[in-house]
Amino acid sequence: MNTSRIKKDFPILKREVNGKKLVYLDNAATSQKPLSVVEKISDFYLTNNANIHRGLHTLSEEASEMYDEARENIADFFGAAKSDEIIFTSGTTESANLIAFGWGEKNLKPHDEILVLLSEHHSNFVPWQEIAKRKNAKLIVENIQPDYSYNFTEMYKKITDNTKLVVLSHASNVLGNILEIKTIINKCQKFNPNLRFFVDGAQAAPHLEVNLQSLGCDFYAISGHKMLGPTGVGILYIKKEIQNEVDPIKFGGGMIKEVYLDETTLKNSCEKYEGGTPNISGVIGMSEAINYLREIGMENIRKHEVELLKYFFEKAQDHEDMTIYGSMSPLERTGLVSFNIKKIHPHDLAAVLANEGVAVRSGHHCAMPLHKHLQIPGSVRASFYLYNDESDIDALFTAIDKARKILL
Amino acid sequence: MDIYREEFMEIYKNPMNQGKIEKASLVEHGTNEACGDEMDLYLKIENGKVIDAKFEAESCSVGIVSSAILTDEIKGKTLAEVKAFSKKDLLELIGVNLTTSRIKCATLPLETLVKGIEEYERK
Ligand SMILES: Cc1ncc(COP(=O)(O)O)c(C=O)c1O
Repeated sequence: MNTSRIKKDFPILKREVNGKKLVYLDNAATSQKPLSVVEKISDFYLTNNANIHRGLHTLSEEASEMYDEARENIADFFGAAKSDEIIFTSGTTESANLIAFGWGEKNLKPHDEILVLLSEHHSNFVPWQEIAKRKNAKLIVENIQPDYSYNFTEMYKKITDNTKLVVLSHASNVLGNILEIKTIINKCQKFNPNLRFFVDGAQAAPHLEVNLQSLGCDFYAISGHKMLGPTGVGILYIKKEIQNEVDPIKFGGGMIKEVYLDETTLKNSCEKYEGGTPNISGVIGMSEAINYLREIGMENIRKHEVELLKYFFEKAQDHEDMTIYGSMSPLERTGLVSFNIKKIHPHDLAAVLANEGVAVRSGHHCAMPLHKHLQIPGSVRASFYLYNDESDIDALFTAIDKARKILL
Repeated sequence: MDIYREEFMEIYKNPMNQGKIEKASLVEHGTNEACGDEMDLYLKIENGKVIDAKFEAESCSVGIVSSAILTDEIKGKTLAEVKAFSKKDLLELIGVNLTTSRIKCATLPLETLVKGIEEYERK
């Protein structure tokens, strides 16, 4: 992949911090945006801006068309059967909440069970914990193995007639481990054919080719800002057949058919979940981000990240004081590495790296249950994307050397 | 490279008052949920005066240095004096430029102290 050409599409990467070249390795938190996305959003505001599906005037029709086309484009990219299965939210957090409260409120009964994995991001853990509490249902947490993998055979045994929902991350934001979603779903269904599956794709969709129909889940959540899009755009897939099981959680304009003094009928489409004026410019910008990714090709991005992981692991061999969390096989993980350096607190390491222009994340990365289980206060996470190259990893390791000199 | 300057690193590598106090008058546990820092603060109080203060912390350098400086500062002070000691006073004593995200690391020992004294006085 031609990263030097790609880097040119991301003006922010030319920035300096503390007089040093910016090395951006915090892509799992949010990715940078290509100029085409920024321009698309600004063009929209400069030439087409209007509210959608409400006015008959030209601008409103243009904006509505752009918004609808964005939905088509995004549905097509992720292999949804219909664009009506794509709901725009503000992010993965809102998507999980919409299903927890829109589906859980309606379908969970006392003693029902929800299965989740220990390594989930708080956004894909707390909503389930909360709805379980409110409905007197049980949250069953599957523990992780010492080699950072899950023993799914053990998990399947926990599925009973009371199990209603299985919650999985397509990839963890700390370990990067990619789950075989399709296989897991198939196996789970052998134990209980009526299960629903919620998949958090926040860390997978930006890095892997995702085909929603072939994965076979009922719900799939994506954060647009982690895949070149603007903040405030979440993409939630709800399989059409399941939509009658999910109530909206936002009631208001844009989602109704008719309102009378004593009764309201809702639209029977994805729009019933999008009450109020949606993030129109954001969704249009998101669609442009999808165009950019399509142009580069998700397969190429995946190959590139695997190469970067290999390079990282190779360099890491010379650093005996480095502990890496997760599988050491690049093919089993997305392009991120969480690690610690012996005797250096993750915050101190991240602070020295920041001074060297290297942006990484430190802390528990919104995965406290996992960090508690690993008995570490936190970790440092370097996460790659399509514009990163080996020189960025070199800069990271040089900065780590510097941190040792200062802190040890 | 403001924060990791020499005086700061010297305290970090050899912090004052690290350890437990047996038969302490108060022991308070503090956690910073945002970053996972944890600490225990031990105070020995006699006649309304802090006569000894120690800490144990699992935290970054900012938390350690702040704990060391704070425990040093309050030794010999009356509880009234200790309570008058502010976040601003502490940050001034630490004396390095902290970014917004790390001010919380520095103030955890003080929050723990305030909580501990409140509980001590309630008893
Ligand atoms: C795995 C995972 N799930 C959920 C989220 C939450 O996403 P957002 O903050 O965009 O709602 C994130 C990102 O922080 C994540 O990495």
